[in-house]
Amino acid sequence: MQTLVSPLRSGINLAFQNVTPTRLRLLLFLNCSAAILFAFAAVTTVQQHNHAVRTVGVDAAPSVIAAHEIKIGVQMMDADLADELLYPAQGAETVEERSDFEKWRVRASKQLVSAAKNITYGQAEQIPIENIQIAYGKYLMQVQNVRDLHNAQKADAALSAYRQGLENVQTEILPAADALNKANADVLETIYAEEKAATNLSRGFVLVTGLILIAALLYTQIFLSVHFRRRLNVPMLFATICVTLFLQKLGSALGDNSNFLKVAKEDSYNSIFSLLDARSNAYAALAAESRWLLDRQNAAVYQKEYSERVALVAKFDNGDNAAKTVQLAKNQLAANERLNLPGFSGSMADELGNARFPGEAQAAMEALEQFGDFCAFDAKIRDWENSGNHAAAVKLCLGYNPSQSKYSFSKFDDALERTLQINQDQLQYSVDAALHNLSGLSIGAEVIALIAGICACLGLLPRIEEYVHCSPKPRH
Amino acid sequence: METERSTDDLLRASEELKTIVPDNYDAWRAQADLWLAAVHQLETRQIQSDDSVILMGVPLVEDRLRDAAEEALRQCAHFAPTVEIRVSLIDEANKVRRATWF
Repeated sequence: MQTLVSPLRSGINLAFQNVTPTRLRLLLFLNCSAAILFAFAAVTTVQQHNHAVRTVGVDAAPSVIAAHEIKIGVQMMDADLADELLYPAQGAETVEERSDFEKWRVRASKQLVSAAKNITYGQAEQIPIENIQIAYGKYLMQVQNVRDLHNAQKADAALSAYRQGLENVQTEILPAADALNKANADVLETIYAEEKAATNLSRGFVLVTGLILIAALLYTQIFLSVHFRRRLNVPMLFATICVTLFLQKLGSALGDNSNFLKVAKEDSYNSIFSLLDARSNAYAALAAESRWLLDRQNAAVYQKEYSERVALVAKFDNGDNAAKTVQLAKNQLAANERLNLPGFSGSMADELGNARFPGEAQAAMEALEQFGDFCAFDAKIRDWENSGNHAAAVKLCLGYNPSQSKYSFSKFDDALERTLQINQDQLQYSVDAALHNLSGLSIGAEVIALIAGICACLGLLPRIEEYVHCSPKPRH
Repeated sequence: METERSTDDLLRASEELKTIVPDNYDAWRAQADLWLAAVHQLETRQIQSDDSVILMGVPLVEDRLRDAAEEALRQCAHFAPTVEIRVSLIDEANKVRRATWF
């Protein structure tokens, strides 16, 4: 024990018998350690922010959008096929429906490729995409079969084949698209929640480590000034200025980044999600309406589906309707009030409650207004069909004149597209700005830490040298 | 009268030290002590600056005396018998040196 304690004690005594050089070495160690800690904190925090922005804006959100677009495309293909069957096989309208079907097929196919290219979360994304691809190929063959039977004037067989295709859509493609959507949306929500909780903590940690480094540099400066009667130590001063300026830039960049991420997620992405949900459900309602006219045996099922889908887009309590709600929203906007629409729920209500960008609320209100008109046409279609006027009901359902259903629906879709575009532009802008904001900060932090370390050496080593080079001469 | 006596004392000490070759600890220490005493007396206004008065080749001006004392203490540190003394001599040299910007 004695032998262990003695060298330790003599080592400590040796270290502290020459107090000033020991203090100078400790200051050098303190400054270098603080610089390394600051670099570590800054790089970790910047990477964390970068990961959150990439998850929200680059990895997950585009896949969520692609999953919705696949759903929408397939639902529209189904609606177009149902519409095609409502027309005679060789008519001009059939050609138009097929052309429209083709447009949606191309769009859904592109989105499928886009989703496959953006696989980030392994099997959770790959399996749904594979399932969509398998069922999608099968569906296209089923569609061809339906068309062949329709062209051959075999209405019952065509309807039966159509039902098989619909079953494939409803039990294979749409659930797989929902699974793809969920895989990405869940990760996005989780990462964003983590980032939101950690953002102040990590920013605070970086600022504290930066302030510790500045305090160490300032203390060293004061120590040198007092003990060596040198008012300014240029390397230490230079390091202090560099670290202070960088810390200010880093703090403001991280703050801006959090704001950009908030705008991207809460203001843009949430709206996009609501709008895509609204669009998907509206298209499903449109397809259910056509099916109701086409497949009278299952009319009750399709009517129920239509009602459920419409309620998911916009539901009004207390006898309100789209027109009254839009008027209330317009009045609130004119009075510069935050939108508060009691009794109104569904995806469009979510969107109106989250309208943040110029022109967004107006476009969303226009969409809601047109959707209300579309629903009003639906009631008329069902009245006419139920009263035995099938041809007029079909014409009202499929016509694009201002007094027909599809006109309102296409106006609704245009307004919805504009609202979506506003949010997608803002999402892209916010993500680009956030990533641009973070670029170079990691390397900057490392360079600044290196500068601080080198400056601490340049500032302190000459002072330590003063004590080293005066070695005592042995006495004889 | 007091001032004159102090200056005279310093001059007398200076004359005596001139005969000693500064090649050891005590000689450098003695030179440093002479200049340190002069600095102290200037600081406490016991004597006035006078560049016509020369102490061991250094005019009786505070900054010049501080420079000389600092240099002597650093030279003395070369001959310090222990690390503690060497460190305290360098500390003393830094404490007495004239304040500079850098």
